[in-house]
Amino acid sequence: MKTSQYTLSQVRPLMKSHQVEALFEDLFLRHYELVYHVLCRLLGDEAEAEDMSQRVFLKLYHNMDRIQAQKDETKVTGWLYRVAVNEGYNALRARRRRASWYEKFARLWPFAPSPPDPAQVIETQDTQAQVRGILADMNPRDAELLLMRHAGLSYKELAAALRVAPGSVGPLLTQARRTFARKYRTTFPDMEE
Amino acid sequence: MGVDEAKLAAYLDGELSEEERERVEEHLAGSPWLRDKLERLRQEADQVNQALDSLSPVSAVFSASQALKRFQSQLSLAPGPNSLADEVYSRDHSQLVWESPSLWAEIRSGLKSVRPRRGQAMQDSIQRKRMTLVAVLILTIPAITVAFILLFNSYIPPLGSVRLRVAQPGQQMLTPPAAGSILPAQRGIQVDPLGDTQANIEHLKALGFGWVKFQMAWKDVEPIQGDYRWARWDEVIGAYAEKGIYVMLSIVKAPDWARPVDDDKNVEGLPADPATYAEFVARVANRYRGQVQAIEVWDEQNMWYKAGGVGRIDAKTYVALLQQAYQAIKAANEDTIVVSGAMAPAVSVTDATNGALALDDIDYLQRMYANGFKGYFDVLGAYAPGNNCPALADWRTFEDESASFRGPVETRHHSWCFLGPLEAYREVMLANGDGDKVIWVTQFGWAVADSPVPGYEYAADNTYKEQAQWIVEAYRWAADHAWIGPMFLWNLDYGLTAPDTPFAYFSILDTPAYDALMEMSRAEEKEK
Repeated sequence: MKTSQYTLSQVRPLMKSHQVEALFEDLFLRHYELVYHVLCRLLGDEAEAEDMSQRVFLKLYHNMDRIQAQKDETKVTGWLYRVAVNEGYNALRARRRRASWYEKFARLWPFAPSPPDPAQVIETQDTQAQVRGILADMNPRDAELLLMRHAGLSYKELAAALRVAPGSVGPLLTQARRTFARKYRTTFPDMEE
Repeated sequence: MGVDEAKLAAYLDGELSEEERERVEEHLAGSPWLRDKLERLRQEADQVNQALDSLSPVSAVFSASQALKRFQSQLSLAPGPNSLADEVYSRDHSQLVWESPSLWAEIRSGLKSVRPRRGQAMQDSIQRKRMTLVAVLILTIPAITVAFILLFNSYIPPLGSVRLRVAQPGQQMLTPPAAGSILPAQRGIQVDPLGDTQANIEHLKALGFGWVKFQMAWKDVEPIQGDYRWARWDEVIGAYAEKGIYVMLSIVKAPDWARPVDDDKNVEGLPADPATYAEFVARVANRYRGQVQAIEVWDEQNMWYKAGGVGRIDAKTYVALLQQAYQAIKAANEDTIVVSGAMAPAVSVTDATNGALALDDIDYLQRMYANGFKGYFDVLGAYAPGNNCPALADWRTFEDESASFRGPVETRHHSWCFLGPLEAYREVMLANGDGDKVIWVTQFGWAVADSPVPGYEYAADNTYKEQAQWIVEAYRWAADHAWIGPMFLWNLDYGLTAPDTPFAYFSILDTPAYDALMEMSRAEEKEK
């Protein structure tokens, strides 16, 4: 039984054995920096990236019961980066949806709430925003694959993260790069040599 | 052997063994065409890298150990587990509002850690919302009080009569139920879908389990809206179905994209729009036609960690989800049995500031009925944990001098013992004219552990022999009660797949319970 009484289930997540705590700390110290950097790049906002990194590790913390039983660390790191990139990517897409909503309605409706941060939401001018826009337009798996590879994950870790056979990583990555490069060239035609 | 694009990509990314690399280089040397291809791949990869490199690098000085400190301070693990556990068990269950400063401080600080930083304007707006909420509460409290009195008056029978009525055979309430009689198999067990499928099927056959239960996490199958990952489930469900084992899926855990923007993402929660869940379960019913016989719609919806956070437990929201799920499942495949989500047997706990963490399951069932539950389930799902109570113990009178875990004796409540919730739900169902409906026990079991982790102290009181005996007694009891349908034992193989976790305490592989169930199954075979 997962829970016997309400109170136990509430306190249980807060009380892990020392062994699990040690394992968690180890994973945290080894992977936090990279997770944070990936999210910084993706979101372009250090405070947001920091909060999100903390949230990602909270998820790891809550899943330590299962993580502990997993002997293959590639699978653990794969899982961790997948969660991180997935969170970041969803935030990016949500931001984009909000932006388009404001663009559509703000002009028509005088009472429309102003965007939380216009500089961030309606990013159309600057290059970084364009790159984020390309990512947000891509198939999520492709975008996440590019981001994870860029963060330095090996094919084996990528395979574990995407739950595909290691042999599929090469073709998927090639495809994703091609899609990105095509969109990138359309956005920045002058960069084509 | 040729060199394809995937090989070239792996070559480019330094992911080949030395041997493979040499082979690719040999090919490259002899083929201008291949070199062109490699060059194109390199350009594409460079373009991606340049673009991603251009995204803002980190400027602040970074320290992982500081980040860890921040994480831990927000999680606030400081007080020892024992002090917490003591507080938990010594509290008086008759109090509805329980305020234990240290525990709440911990839980709150845990929640706080994930809130994104907010600007002043947002803070102000939150403040305004809070004040509005307080005003609304003040205005509606008299109405709520009246509603409560009406609700409770209509249902709570004197305790003595509960047992009498349940125990007497031959009354209207014991009419053989429709859904239960369609499917003869009465015993089920929960199995790890990631475990060894073939071995587990053999175990189920040997033990006479006709049903298997899996928990299917919606968020794992549809992590991105419209993007489904069925492969593993196709394999597992197909394997069990092929061997004639009935499958029940408990479908829980909404993906973040489906959830309300403002609920607590630290815990599981219901979707913002019930239609998203309804669509998902309908897909399951349709996809696994003839393979999945029953779907349990959510579970533990009376607990904050499955309802989207503290203060968000609401029977009305759940019933709305169930109604849409029921209609969608029936439209997709009318043979699928819809099991209402099993509540967690619990005591109501309310945090004065943030609202309910848990609602008493009997109370919650009443509220479900008050919000249109009737007619939207085929069978009622129930969890019946045994803790350290024997299977047939009466929670009102149970005594155990030797037990080190004193909860069931010192703070008497129906939720401590196996029969408690089942008999109470039966009463509520009868009061609502659902006497012909069956209860399926979708999770029950007893834990055994020498030195259990905190939270599972009761497991130290139980022996493997008791575990075996109580499981058999529970199944025999169920066979004598027509209003009980299949009962799913928690669990078969988590002892193998998740050793050293509390899941393993309940696992029956290599225990006397395994032998006792095999014995039971053989005896039944002989009778036939």
